Amino acid sequence: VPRHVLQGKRILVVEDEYILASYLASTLEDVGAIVIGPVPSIEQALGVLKMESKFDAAVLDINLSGQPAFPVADALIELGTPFVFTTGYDEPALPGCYRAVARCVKPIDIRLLMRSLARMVGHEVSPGTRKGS
Amino acid sequence: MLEKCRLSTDGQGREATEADDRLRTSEERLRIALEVGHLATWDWNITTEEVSWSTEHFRMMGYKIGEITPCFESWAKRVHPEDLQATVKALEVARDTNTTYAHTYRSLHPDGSIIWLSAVGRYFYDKNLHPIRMIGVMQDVTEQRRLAEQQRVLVAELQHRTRNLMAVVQSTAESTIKSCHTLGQFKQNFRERLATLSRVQGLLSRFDQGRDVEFQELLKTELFAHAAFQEDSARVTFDGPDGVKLPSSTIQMLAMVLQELATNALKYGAMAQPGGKLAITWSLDRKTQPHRLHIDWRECGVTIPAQGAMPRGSGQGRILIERSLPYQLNAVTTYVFEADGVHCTIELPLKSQEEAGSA
Repeated sequence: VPRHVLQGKRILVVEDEYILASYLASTLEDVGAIVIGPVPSIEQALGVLKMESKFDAAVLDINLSGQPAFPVADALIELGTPFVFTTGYDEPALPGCYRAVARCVKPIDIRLLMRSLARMVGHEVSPGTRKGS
Repeated sequence: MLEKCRLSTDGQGREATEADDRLRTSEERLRIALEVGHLATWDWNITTEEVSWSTEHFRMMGYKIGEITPCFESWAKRVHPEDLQATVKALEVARDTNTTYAHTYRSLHPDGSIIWLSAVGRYFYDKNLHPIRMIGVMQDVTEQRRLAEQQRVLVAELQHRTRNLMAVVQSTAESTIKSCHTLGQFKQNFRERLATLSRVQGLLSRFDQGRDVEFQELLKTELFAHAAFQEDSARVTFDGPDGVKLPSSTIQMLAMVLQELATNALKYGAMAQPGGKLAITWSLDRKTQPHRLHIDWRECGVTIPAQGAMPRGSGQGRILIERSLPYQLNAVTTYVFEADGVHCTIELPLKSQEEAGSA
């Protein structure tokens, strides 16, 4: 079996819906990724980012209990950690600085999401999200 | 109408009096029609700069009747500054192209209120095609605009909800697949979970109609979905206050939890064994902010199957209670197999979505 590109990679999962969070986490673990979290709120996500700063990528729900997850996005950009937004909205009003961030619309096509993450960690160079900062 | 105006001013003799009467009747009819239809009218004599407004027109522009002498400036003063340029432009285009003026704009009143006005009018010209007069009607469409906006919000919310629901269905399917050995088992479990979801959607739609969903209502909706709970009501006791309103964010999860508890009771617990009993009690702790709902689900008279004899799949409810509830809703939960049946407690903060967001 070929080694999955996400194997051993540290992926932060921020998602407020438990069912989705655990689905994402178990899918990532199935390919050998190390899941950090999942965590359901901005506060907890920022807490995790303060505790450990070494992540290979993150999955970030854009709407956490009705609050935009931008503080977490900003922190990730600051750290240079690439991430994917997941969203239930057709969100046209995303601030311009996040335009470069990849997006997965719910219901998530898990293969697309995994491919997105694989692309991000596959490149050792700084992420495309940097552009926005 | 212009024709009649001329008649009335030139009117002499019997013929003219009859015409006068006819005109009065017709004017009266028009006035009533305008009043009933809440239409404002204006008549603008471009040559003399004189403008006359109907009483509705004063009201729609935020003036007291007769407060000012209507003129272009008194009109322009009450058009929302952001809309003035476009509105004047629309007037000019209609004048220069001899077309109907039809334009919707906002009027900004001194008290800060904003009224949406939809105006339709036309210009009249002299022989040399110079505009001499303009007449029109105007309608207050603020309510229509509000309804249209409400509809837009509802459609967006519906889309959001549908997407989220699809996501929940997707992950429910995934987790049910993982917990089932056979296709038959999957079929049954998945069907039950889908039925729960669709009942929850029914309850959630009440929020759209401005109705609250109470805990007792949710509890009974979920339990009585199974005939056994209704037919065998002597086994089940309910004890708790009315009027415990649930924030919408808690309903779906709570319904799924109750459904799993009910299903397990039916398959292996209090509802499956002859001596089994189920007591559900709840209370609302108002000492804390937000208030906390305490739920106690106690089964007794049940012979607990030996460890390992529990069929796979029954763990789903436990995961919901022990993991999902704390994760998603900050609940404190316990789930214990006592000697004679399951005992589950849930302590749930009843935070509204807005409060949760600002916390």
